[in-house]
Amino acid sequence: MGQFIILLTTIFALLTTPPTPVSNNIQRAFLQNNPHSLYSLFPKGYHVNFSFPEPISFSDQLTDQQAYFLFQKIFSDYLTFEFYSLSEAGEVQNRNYIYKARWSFKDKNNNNQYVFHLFFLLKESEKGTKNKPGKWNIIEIKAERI
Amino acid sequence: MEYHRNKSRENLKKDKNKQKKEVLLFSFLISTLISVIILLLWLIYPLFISSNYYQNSLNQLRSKSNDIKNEFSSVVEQVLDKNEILKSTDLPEEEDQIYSYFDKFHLNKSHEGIAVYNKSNQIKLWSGKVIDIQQILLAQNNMDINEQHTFLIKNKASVYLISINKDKKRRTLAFYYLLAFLPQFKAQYLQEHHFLKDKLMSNCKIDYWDFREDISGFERIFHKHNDEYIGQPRLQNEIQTIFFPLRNEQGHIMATVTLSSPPLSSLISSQKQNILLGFYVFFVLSLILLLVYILKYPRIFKKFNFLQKLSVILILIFIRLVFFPISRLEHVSSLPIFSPAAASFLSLGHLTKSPADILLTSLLLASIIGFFLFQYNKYIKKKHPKSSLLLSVPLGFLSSLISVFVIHILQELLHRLVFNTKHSLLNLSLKPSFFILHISILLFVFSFLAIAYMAVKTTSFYSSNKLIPFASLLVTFCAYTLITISRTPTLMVFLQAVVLFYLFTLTCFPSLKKRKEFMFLGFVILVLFIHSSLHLISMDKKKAILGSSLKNTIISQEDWALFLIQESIQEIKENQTQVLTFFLHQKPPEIAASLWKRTLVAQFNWYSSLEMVDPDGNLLSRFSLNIPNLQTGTELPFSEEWTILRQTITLLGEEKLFLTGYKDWIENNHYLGRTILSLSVGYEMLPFLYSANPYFELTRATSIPSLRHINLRFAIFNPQGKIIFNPNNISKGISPQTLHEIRSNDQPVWAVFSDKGKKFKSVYFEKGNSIYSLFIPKKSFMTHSVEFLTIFFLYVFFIALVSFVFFALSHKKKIKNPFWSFSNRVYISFIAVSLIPLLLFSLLTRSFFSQIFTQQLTEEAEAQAQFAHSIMEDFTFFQEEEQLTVTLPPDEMVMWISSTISNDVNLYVEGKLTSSSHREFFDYGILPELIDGDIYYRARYQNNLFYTQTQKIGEYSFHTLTIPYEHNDSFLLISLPFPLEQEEISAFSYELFEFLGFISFFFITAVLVLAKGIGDMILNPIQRLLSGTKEVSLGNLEVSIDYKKQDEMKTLIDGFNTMVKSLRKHQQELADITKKIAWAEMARKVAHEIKNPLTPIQLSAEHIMQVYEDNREDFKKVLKESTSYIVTEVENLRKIAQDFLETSKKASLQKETLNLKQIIKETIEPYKSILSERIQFKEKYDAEDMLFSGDKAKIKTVFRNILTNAIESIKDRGVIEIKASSTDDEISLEIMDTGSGIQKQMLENIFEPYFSTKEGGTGLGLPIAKKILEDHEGSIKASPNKPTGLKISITLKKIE
Repeated sequence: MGQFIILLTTIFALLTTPPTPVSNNIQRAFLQNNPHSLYSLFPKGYHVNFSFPEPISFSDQLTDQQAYFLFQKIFSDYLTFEFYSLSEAGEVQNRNYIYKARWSFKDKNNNNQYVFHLFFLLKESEKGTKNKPGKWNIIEIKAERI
Repeated sequence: MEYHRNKSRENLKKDKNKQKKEVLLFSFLISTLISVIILLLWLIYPLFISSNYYQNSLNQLRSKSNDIKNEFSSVVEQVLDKNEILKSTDLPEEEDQIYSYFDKFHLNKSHEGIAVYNKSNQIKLWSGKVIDIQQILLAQNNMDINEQHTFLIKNKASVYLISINKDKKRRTLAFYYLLAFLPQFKAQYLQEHHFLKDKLMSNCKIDYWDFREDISGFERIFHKHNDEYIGQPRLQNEIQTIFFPLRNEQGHIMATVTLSSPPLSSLISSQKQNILLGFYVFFVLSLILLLVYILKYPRIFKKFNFLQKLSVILILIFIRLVFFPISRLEHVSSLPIFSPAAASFLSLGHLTKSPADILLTSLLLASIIGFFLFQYNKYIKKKHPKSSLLLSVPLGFLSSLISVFVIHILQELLHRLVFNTKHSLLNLSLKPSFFILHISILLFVFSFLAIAYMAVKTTSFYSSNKLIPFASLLVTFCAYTLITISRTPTLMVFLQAVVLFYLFTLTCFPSLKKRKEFMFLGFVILVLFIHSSLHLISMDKKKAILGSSLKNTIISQEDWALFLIQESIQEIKENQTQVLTFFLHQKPPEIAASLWKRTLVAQFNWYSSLEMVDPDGNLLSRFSLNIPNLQTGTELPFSEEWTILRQTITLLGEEKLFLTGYKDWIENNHYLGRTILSLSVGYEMLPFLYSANPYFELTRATSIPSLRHINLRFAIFNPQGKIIFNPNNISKGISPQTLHEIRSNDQPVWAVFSDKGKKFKSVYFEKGNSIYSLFIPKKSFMTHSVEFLTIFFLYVFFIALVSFVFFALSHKKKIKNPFWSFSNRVYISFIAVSLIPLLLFSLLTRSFFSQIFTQQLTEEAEAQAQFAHSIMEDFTFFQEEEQLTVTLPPDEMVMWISSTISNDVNLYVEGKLTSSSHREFFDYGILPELIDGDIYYRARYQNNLFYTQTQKIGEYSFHTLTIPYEHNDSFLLISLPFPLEQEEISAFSYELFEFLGFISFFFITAVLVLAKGIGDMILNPIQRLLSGTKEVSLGNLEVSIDYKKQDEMKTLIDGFNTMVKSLRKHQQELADITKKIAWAEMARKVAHEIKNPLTPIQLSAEHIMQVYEDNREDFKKVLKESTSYIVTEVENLRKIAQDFLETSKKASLQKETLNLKQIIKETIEPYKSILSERIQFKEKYDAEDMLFSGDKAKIKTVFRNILTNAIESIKDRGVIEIKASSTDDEISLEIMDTGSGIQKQMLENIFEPYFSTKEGGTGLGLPIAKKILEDHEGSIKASPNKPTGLKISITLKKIE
């Protein structure tokens, strides 16, 4: 049948390297409603995939500069109530990491409240060393409404 | 008198101007006042709304609830009305007649349906939206439903209001109304639908209640609250709600509705935004009016000085800044042109964060630079060029540096714009953002090139040697090329150079601006530069998307799958009690579906399956989305903990990768069974991939719309370069050379390959044991040409539109009707005659090929359906041969067929679904389990081989092809859904458009050239004849038209020439006769006047003679007296002569105050309008008011005579230049022509009567002019004009 088995869970546990500075930057951006720290995480000259359900309703790919303005618009339309990480053990493969967070916010225009699960696919662009953490970029963002 | 008339005309003009000025000022003040009032309203608005808000909002909610109730009642009435029709008419006996009976109901099949059930309550025929309610009918007596009354049924994703009726033969007729469609999958095509209009659905939540559900709790609540439960808010931020039931005609609750109104704070915020929008609109309007006022009436600043210029710029900047808060308003920011996703890039002060912002910024830049350019041109015109070698060389280099810098910045700007937009700026789109971005590009190009123009103009101003600016540009550009050549494509560098050299040529040789061909060439160069920039930057962008972004999307697919399976296992772990209960009691049977729905896998619509297997490996419960039954769970090793595996499974010869998580359940040392969650890591799920499968597309959760214009394709190859995944049906593997390159390279490899006559650019990269390829079509010469022409005509359209608006607003020129001119009518007729068939051909061809394409797809689907049919018959035949119990093909069998033919298959028995390759779509109610009633009827009672139909689910439409066949008295239908292949059709349509566009361009060019040629052939002699007629009308009888061809025109032109010749002869004869008559008259009058004094003179002389002969003594006395008489009479004669002279002078001159400029303008205008094609008239006046006293008609005669001479002396093309200047007491006028001129020695005689150098000339024109001018105390003289022609100089006495 040609199947081969890899106990991936064990390997994941060994390879876990949660990119803390990245998650801090993401948290800062949402909690301060400021896209600057997110912009620094988008790779330059690259198109990042975005998928947001209602009320944001957006699914497409954008450059870092477009993404900056998109988040500026999102943060001007919606106000963050809370944003916290839901990621436990990191999931690292192909030098990728999916960071999960819970984001609750309200629409400033009608006060409607929403809760999203956000999933940030991070990619390590520069390998970290003992003294210097690696450089991580956001290459995809997905969201699910709870 | 005339002077006063002129004065009053001027006063009228001034009054009008003043009136306009007042209107402008008034509009500005009104607009400002309105904006201030709106701002005040914005401030005090909350005070108005706060009081009594909740009572008002409650009233509004009640009014809305009444509307909803009325809407529902009307639905109930509709259902009952249909029931009445059922009651009042007899159902036909024959089944095949029943379907036509349905027509009486005029069903709206999008939400209404009707069905007939036989005595045994089996559904027989149906139409529209219908579900099978056989079970309900069977249990009717035990249920709370009555005939002729409505009841509600929830069936999977659909909610129906139904009424039933029985006829005399106990057949049941049911009428259905689809109240709601609530799909459980989250996908862009699967939107919720309710019976209410969108307007009523806002802030409204409806829960529907099946008639079998217990709603006694609701009945109690509503009984207590009189059918209206009001949720009162306690805080300002809380919403107000109203909860009420929707009842049927019997008063049974069918649904409950919760209506909510926004909290006060939100309403205030929303209304304040609306008010602010009004304020900004009027504020911007007042700023624009102020700007126009300052520009039109600069004297508010005493002089048009620095303050005025500064205020203009400040207002422009201010207008731009006002758009920042405007773009943040809800109504504005929701517009697509304000979306950063459409186009946005980082710039100073975030001035380019949406297409609209980019346009506003480019408009601001163009306005400011345009204003400077205008001021600069005005300034430079007043100055005389200075030549300074010392200044010209450094200035030359400086201007070259500025120009090179400017073109580099422009290039960078274009790069940012193209890279950060989702639109393809090379393919025509009807989206507003596309046009906005192109207008912005034009404005940016204008602004930057205007800067370069001013720099170069300054250099040319100080440099008489034109070589200096060119030499400095050459040196600077060479240096720039050396620096940038590694980063900038050669073509781009070349086009930059062409643009700059063109600009330098235009600036250094301003006379070229009048050459239409040169200006057209400039426009072509500019479009070529923009087109090439857009193309090269787009290519860079595509390379980045394919080689980097999409590559990562493919690679990360497995990471997402792994993450999702881990998250979903967590979810199942949290529900493990339910799982254990299921294994112990096998209840509920649909646990797999209910568990799957709760997982993150379901949220992502990820293709996956969840299975519950007993210890023997038998399937207890299963749910899957787009995954066949793998049956691999039993082969996995025992694991009490959740374990995740990576499995490559061969399905129908194709290797598919899955991630599988599983766990074996044990309770009290008793093995219960296994739960298996499998996720496909198949590439059908990639967001950029078009699967061409309706059922796959329906559940697509994410997509990348901006990739549509790239025309992206995808393939996977094995390590040997053979294709293993081929969604775009290419026929080529990877060439050995490319394969070698891929293997020896860590980075993605780019290569070009040809397939089926088309070239593609492809990027290859390796992942695991596969080579992935993303590729796009390589543009052909035809594609480039069509793109270039699209931009070219788009810009022509923009420029024409702006010019039209400008002229229409400025009233400077009347816009002529293009059909006014005969020649235009001829050209337009030619073009129309040629283009109309071409356009018709284009339209028909497109629809024809689209039809052919659809037909081809239908034929393919039919072949596949026939294949499925033959396999199903073989299956039955095999069972019969083996003497097994004959069963219909199960889901697994249908799935296998589906995989073989690469198309979904559904099998219906008696119209009801039996097996499907995608049963989950029916289980979830996305697709109806009953086949379409129309198809069923046609298949049953017509004898066609197959039936096609278009089906629509949500916003998604696709085709179905159905084949009927019968087996053991069962009526079976095989139905295949197949896409309209919209992607292919649209790609094909685009190619067709491209081809037709390309052909059309050459066709149109050929037609234009032909039209011009044929038109010229017809029109040229007519135009020459017209021009000759006009000259004759101005008094030029020297005209003669030369026409060599021997045709009908020759006769006409010869006739004209003879007529003019004869006119000339008659004019000469008339002049001679007039002269003779005038002389005779004069002689008669003079003789008459002289005769009277002559008689006394004669008598006195005779008297002297008589006295002398008589030798009379009084001779002395008589002599004295007679001499005295004679002297007196002679004096009388002199007096008479003087009187004649005086009378002639007084009679001929009607003097008044005249303005020289006005007189010349009035005289010259007819010549200008008629002879503009042949003769260029130049006028220059040093002052506006050059007043003198004179006879207007006589002075006009002077100018007319001089102009006629000048015109006649110009044989072909030439220039007549008029210069007027004045001193304190004298006005000077020079009229210079570039005609044949007069020899120097003859110049002295030209003012002598009857002297003429022209054949047939009277020789009176200039002597008359001289006489008139002398009568006006003026002078006239002639001198040669340089280089050719004659110069006439006139002086007149000036008055204040």
